[in-house]
Amino acid sequence: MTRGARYFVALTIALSGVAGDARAQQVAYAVGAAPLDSATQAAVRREMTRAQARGLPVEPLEAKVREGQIKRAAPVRIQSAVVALATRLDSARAALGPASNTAELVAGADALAAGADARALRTLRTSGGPRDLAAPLGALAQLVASGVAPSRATQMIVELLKRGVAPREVLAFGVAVESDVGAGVPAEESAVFRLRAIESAVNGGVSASSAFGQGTDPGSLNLGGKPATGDAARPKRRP
Amino acid sequence: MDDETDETITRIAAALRQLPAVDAAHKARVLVAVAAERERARRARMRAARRWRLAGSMGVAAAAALGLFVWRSDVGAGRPATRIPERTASANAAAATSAPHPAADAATRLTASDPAGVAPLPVQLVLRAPAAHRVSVVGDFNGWDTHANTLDRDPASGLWSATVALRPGRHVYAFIVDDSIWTRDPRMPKSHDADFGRPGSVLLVGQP
Repeated sequence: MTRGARYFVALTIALSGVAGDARAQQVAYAVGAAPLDSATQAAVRREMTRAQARGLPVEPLEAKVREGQIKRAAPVRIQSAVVALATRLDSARAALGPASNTAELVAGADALAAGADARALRTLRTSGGPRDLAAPLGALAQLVASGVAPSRATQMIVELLKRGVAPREVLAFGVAVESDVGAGVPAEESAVFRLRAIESAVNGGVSASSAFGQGTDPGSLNLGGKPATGDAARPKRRP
Repeated sequence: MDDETDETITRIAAALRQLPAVDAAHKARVLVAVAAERERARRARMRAARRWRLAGSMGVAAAAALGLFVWRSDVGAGRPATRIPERTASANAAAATSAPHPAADAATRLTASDPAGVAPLPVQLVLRAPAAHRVSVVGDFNGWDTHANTLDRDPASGLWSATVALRPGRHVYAFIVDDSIWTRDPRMPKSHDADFGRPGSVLLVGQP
């Protein structure tokens, strides 16, 4: 490589570093509220009216429209996303019961979108009783999204609920598995390892979150950082 | 004797130095209240700025009307025409785009007033973007409203941050840099987006 070419490469690397930390971290998408055409607007409005008539909350559907607009999705895609979300909210309510609150329905719909099935939601409701299920459903969605088989993920969360583990610790379980998967540990292996750690912590009368080697004190601010799971507390990465 | 006294004093001092235990739920409530107060203050500042802009644009509109009147008089008198300032339209457009969005209210309903009695928790979101001029956060918690939660810049570090009150559970979000760039939180897991194909980040918020 010539001297000039080396300078050029070095300068390009230096400039790309300066160009912006935020942009270097991911693909940059152009965003902006793209207006809906009148036909799509009418179709979306009809869908919302139908959902409202069935007793479903409309706010999540409105939010889905805005999400699509910000992401500059095609109108037809926004319409189908709204219809799909209404269907998932319907299924979530059928599985979780008519008394479920909006947050639970949205969390249930997220879990369904992640790959869980209605039976999993019903099982959680049966095991969790009348308590708020938004957090356990969030953990279920995250476990399934991380790659744990839906039936296995459901079984694990039910196990935690039965043991009386606090919802925040159920969520911390999901976070720990996600963190392990990010570090290259197979999802199922991590989930089994973490569950075992919680069980021994609970049996020993210790807070389950201490099993993760991380502070999950809700009073402490989440600095947007990944949980500081130490290597000692993490299952070994598969070679 | 001196040694004993010193030891006693040291013990007393150590005991006095310890802070009393604080209930995590109370701490969370205080932080939520602080975050809400900051948001209220920010909105008040935005409202004041809008009033100023409106007053400014009305002044410009009045000037434009006067100019138009003078121009028409000039044209009528056969003198060369003067240009009408274009600022009126842009000022009004700016005021229209910064109008309060109903999504913010919907988001508040979803997070603050919870029928299940589950209190939202303060969560600080941070992004390092030294070259950015404006950063906001959008997510399921604020109805994907770009005006609902803007981040404040720390000039020293170039870090942008905002504290938002989130209901315990799983949340999907992303940052919008300079009103145009969709930016995932690099510190958090990536979400899947089967609907629109633009993944954000996942945040799991625990509860006491």
